[in-house]
Amino acid sequence: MSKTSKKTAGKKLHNPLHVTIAVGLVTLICALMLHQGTETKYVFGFLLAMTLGMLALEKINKAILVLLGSGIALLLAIWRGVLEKPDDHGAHALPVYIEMIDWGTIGIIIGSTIFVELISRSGLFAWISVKILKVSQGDPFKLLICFSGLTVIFSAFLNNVTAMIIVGSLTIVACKKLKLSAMPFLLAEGIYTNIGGLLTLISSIPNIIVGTAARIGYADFLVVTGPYCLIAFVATLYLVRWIFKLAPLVSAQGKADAKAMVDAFDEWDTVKDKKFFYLSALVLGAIILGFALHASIPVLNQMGLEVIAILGATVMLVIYPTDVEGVLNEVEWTLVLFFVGLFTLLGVMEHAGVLAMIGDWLKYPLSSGPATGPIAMMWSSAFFSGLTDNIPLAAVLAKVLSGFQSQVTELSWFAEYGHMLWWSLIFGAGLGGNFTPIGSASTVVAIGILKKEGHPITFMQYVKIGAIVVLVQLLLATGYLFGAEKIGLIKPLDHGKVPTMETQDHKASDNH
Amino acid sequence: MSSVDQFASVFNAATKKVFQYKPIGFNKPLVITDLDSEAAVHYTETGKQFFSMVDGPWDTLCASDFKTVKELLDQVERRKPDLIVTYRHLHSEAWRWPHSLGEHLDVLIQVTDFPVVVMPHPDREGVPDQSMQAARRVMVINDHLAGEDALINHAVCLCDPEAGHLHLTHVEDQIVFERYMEAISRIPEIDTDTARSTIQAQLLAEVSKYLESTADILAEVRPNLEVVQHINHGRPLDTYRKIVKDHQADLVVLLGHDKDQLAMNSTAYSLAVELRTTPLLIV
Repeated sequence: MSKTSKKTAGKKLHNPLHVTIAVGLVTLICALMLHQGTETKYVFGFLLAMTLGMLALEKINKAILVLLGSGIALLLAIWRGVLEKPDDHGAHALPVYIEMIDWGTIGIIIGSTIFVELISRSGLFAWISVKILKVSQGDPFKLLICFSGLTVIFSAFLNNVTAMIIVGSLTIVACKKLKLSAMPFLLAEGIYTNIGGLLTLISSIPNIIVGTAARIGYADFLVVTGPYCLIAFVATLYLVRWIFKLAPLVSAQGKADAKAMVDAFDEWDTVKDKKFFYLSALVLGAIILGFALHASIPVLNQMGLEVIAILGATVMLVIYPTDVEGVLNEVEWTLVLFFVGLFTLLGVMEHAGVLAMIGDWLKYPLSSGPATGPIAMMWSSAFFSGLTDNIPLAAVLAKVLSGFQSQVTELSWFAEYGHMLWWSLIFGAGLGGNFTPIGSASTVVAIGILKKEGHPITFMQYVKIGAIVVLVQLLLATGYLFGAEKIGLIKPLDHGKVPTMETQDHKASDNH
Repeated sequence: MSSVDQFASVFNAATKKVFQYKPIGFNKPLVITDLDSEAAVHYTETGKQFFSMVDGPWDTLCASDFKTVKELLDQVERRKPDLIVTYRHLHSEAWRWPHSLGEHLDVLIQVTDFPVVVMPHPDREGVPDQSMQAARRVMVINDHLAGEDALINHAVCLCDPEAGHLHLTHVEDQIVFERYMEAISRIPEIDTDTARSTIQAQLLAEVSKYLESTADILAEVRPNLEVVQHINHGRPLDTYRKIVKDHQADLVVLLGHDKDQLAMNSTAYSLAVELRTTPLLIV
């Protein structure tokens, strides 16, 4: 009871009557347009635009919105014969809308939420955080380095919001003790979650979607993003130091007092059960190794990364049987249902030719040249990621690029630098979130913490900082991508490995 | 574990107040009496014997040096002592009725910043009504003991360095706790049983950690001092009185000046009134 009321308290709820009218109206308009012979791709394109537009406005819960959009799309698609009817392949066949869903991504989300929740309960993350805090000895600049590093590491292995919550809460507690303003640290952490979120294939949802679509392995991903994250880490550190004029402690007394303050933290006080703590550390290590070495582990390499996440979650549930129901309740069902709806919606759009139409629109800027194409992709995806949720953007563009990939023999420009477009999308969608305070969920959390602590920051105040950071990071990323390609760090994608639309369809037929 | 508040609680619980030892020395003790000069000197000798570790020349005020509170404060201001040794009901017969400290001591404690020792009342010859030995068993009392380093440092300073026992006591007020629990029991969002057990455990854990750090540090700097911890839930006044009686405390150290209130806090005042045969150090 308390949990429900806590989660809904303070959140603006949608008006059921308004939503019903809007759904009815959109369905009616689409049905009439289809009935009057308007081309399918335009009608479904209108539906997609309406759904993504409403998503950007954030007036309705995103899971509900996408489920409504996909529901209307499915009904219209079945009615007009855009999709095969569910029973077309016999009683044992999976309905086409079930196959549209990327169960791998959903498996990773469910599995990682469970094992992250359990590892959090073991105190491991809090223990690491306090250890890192002590390294700083309470000096503001060292504290910035330590908290930023911690944020990058955590957001590389956890989801960005969880990383922000852990490091943000420690920041508040430590800054109160040290009598420092938490603002520079929290804003920097919000920015660093997006750098950390770029580090590995499973660090963020856009990485999972785009990386999986491009068939980039976990280790290959890390080899490309790792050096950039290091460069961006250092550059952002000095940028934040310059923006907030953070000065290191000078006086011996000040240093001694700050050290005494951080030494008063006892990392072992965050651990209630040492056995559970050590086992959690062991399992976390095994999960990270499993992700990293996935491609070379026999049997597992025949399955997706989601199997490792689910296996990790299962092992943790075996170790910690105390509150299984409570742990399972922590699964982000909003996110899971959002993905179910989003994948279904995009699946219908693919069948209706909407994605091919978007591909045609994007073909001109993307095929403009081996330099301008990737730059256009990176900077535009960063811009739109800053304004709205980067997940639908990454999902749509990944589908579009997959469409080009399926025609690689005909599209010589894609064969030449298609790999750079994939990477540009990954970098653009990952870094753009720093542009506005609503660009990434972790920045929203950081600003929420600041507001709660009595340091509200306005949209424009943030943009003045975020714009400088994004500009520097995108300039660095642009230079880095072309440099990395030149020295062979980024290799052309193996066209045989990347799934084309045809191979995906064959795979689906084989399953039937 | 999915909210900022949950993690902030974990990190807040991980910070502990650690005792910091700071030796305290007294160089200008002042004994304030309302006795004639001969009896006052005798009383001062009793004080010297009791506080054998206090250095410096002892100064004494006798009956003729002051009469009113103003005169007393002027004398104290002129002499600028760093420790005052006195007793209840100066220039008053009210000491026979144990219901107050007397106006001189009441004002003195509030006005002065330095520690005041309240000794048992002397008879006409300046002899306390029970034997006064060296302060071997010193007891520290405070409702908010965690973080009050000064209280413990004063107690350590006045405790017999060779065979001293330092009793560190903390009593969580059960009546106040029950009042909050009653309020919590009417809030459906909070599980009452969980709240009771976790709040109770957390309240005592913080004090326990602080006292443990105190014992560890004192074991290094004052190895001959035996440190005993008393952490309880109950009615503070009754529990403190019982501990004083059970352990035959020679000196009770308590906090008289609260940052948030100008007057002595209620427990300290009540104890100062009630414990008439045990010397008190009000810091």
